[in-house]
Amino acid sequence: MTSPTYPVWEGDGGANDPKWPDEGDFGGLEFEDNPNYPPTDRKRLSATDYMQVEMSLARACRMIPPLMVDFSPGYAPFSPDAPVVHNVQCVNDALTTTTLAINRADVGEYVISFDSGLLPPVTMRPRVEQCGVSSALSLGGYVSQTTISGTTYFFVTVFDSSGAETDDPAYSFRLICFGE
Amino acid sequence: MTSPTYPVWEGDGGAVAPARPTVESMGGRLFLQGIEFPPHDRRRLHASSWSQSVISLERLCRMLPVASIDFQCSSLAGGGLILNVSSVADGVTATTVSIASPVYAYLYTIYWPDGAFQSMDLYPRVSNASEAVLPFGAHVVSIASDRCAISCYDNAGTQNVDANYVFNLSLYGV
Repeated sequence: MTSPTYPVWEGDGGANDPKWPDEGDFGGLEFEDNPNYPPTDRKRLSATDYMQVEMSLARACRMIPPLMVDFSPGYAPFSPDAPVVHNVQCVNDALTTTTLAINRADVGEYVISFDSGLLPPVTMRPRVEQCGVSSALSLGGYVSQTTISGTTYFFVTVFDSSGAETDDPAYSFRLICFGE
Repeated sequence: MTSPTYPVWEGDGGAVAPARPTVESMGGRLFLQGIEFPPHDRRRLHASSWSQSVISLERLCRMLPVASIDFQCSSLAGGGLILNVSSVADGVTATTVSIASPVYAYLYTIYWPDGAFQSMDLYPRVSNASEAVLPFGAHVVSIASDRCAISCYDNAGTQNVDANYVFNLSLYGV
């Protein structure tokens, strides 16, 4: 059994959707040492060595966020007067600062959106937290997620230190998604 | 000497405790190319490439939480609900993790199978995972090998909760 030729995080753009990598994607757990010339020391990779790596890697992949988006609010009379996405880190190369959109819906309320089908199932609750350098502590924010008509939306509401919803670009926040 | 046959994240259920994967648990760093037929292209795994990958994996594992648990509060003592669990240990799931608040509605203890994780000397982290409300926050009161007590606050900064509050507990090992 060989591994897929495309990153399983991304899928193949066709019948194979993005997914969380597992041992089967790394070659499976049926490797065997050569019966005639098995490794006899630690200078040669054994079947169990490699399968241990597969298992560790599969479990580690479960725990990382597939997407992190750093952004700042923005609306007049603040400057800048529009929200900004600063950074995107994603397991899928296709999701970047240019393929993801952010729009303001109301005071302190922002919508981050991108084409659906780019992430493995993100079944755990997403989070938004303050990040970066700021002169004040934000109370953070909350976020919900949905997919409608081929687009994934994250509805984010962010707050300043007094607990009021804010458009102040002096704050930066990070949207973090997780799977299960 | 070969690597363990069980996931080192879980231990063997006996004398070998759960641990974070290291380079040693994945074969070590002493691999050598075959002398007679060394790899001469990128179609065959090189010893140095393999060693680099396991080093990277070891560092990756260093940065990960060993468990991430979403839990929902209740406005009454005795409530609380485990919503989602993600963990490096197959035995730690939404069915083996439990929650209790026997005394106060804002004070929760989350339980997981004892011995499921390595030593958790690093501080755990609780963060808001609510969808439409903003509690003031939550902090860890105590932690042991099989449980963690968490105190939750409403948006007035008072120890208080309602059923819309959802928090995430992330556990980290050494």
